[in-house]
Amino acid sequence: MYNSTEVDGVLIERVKKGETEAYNPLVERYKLPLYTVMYRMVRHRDDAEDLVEEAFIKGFRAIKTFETGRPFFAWLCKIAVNNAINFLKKERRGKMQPIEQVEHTLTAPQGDPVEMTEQKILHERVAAAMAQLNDDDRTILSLRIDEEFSYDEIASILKIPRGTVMSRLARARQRLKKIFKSTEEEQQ
Amino acid sequence: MKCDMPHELLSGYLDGELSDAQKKQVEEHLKKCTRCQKELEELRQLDEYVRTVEVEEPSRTFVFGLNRRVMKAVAKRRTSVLFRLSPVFAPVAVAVLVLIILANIDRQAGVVHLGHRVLYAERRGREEVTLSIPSIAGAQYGIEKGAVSQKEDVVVTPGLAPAAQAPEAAKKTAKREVRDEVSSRRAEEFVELPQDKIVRAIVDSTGTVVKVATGNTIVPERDTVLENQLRGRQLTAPTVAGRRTQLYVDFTQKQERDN
Repeated sequence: MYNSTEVDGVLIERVKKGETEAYNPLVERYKLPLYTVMYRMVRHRDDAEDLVEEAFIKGFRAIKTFETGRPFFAWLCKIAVNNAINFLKKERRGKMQPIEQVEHTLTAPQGDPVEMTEQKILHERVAAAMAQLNDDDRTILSLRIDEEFSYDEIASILKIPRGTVMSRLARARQRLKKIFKSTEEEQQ
Repeated sequence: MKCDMPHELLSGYLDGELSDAQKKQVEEHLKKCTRCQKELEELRQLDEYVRTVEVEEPSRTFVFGLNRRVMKAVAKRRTSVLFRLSPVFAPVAVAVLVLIILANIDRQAGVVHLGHRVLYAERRGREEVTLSIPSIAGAQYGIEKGAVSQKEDVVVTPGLAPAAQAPEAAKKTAKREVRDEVSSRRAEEFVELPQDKIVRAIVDSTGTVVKVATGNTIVPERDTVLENQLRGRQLTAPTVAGRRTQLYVDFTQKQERDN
């Protein structure tokens, strides 16, 4: 069976020894999963792409600190997520998102509603509800639900205790449920 | 019935992250609490919804160009590390260079250590070398001297024909004539060294002129005319540190110095 951790470890050891080219397969392997995490966090394609690129470059610079045998993607996500958190903080300071835009995203999903299938409408509602969450909630939900990281891994990525991961996840789920239900009522 | 089950435990149960005791506690509770059963189902459903949320497709530039951009950046980074360290390396390199130069200038200093390395294991002081070279005067006056000595040797008796002399006298005359001949030949060979050219000669260890060259270029050309006149002339033997040796003697410079 393919053991991604083992193969990653071999590649990383080669990178550590100065073989820069060995980093290329790692970029190829994780660029799309990392893009998904970044997109969930920043909800903007170009920003997500830039953040993925930055994360890979930062990862390369910090490769000496990677402990062989541990999952590379979780380690990379830690770098990427923290970079994205800083990015979002700067973005928030730079420009506040107008409330009208949020409501527009929430109530008027793009596309012709008549042609939309019920499934697609549901996706739009969930996406709109996710967009309503704060960055912390959206990030932790994405790490758990999309990437299926363990609580320990999330604790490492976000640099918070395991117990805090549990409570934040529970809180994020409750908020999402509340927002999702409110959009359901609006639709009706 | 009021339910006191914390959301955290339900959420943790859904994620399979509870301890055995917590898991047992939740499972026991779920058996009798329909509200929590419903809540758990809603959360599970919500997770499913979240997984289905579409992510906008990344651009072609990202999909096909990211690897190249990242690899270019990290390769550049490797190079730039050296440049980043250059502010450290450059002064160290200069310091080492200065140290080497100083070590060479100060001949009295002992062995120079740089860490555990010995830059100069052995150095000698300058040796005094005594040099004796044939002079231009020797090249000229040696011939003149020869002519003079023959003048001294020759006893000329004017008015006497060789045939009228006693046999001994005739012999002397014959000798004298020969010597006169030699004298006149040598007098003709008195060498006038050119003033406008550098004259160099190879003088062997016995002091005999071997070859002669003239000219103002770095490599003077062999001067066969002057060489024919000077070759074989016996000068003072050149010595270096007391030892006789063949030397390349610059006559002109010596002459200029003498002047």
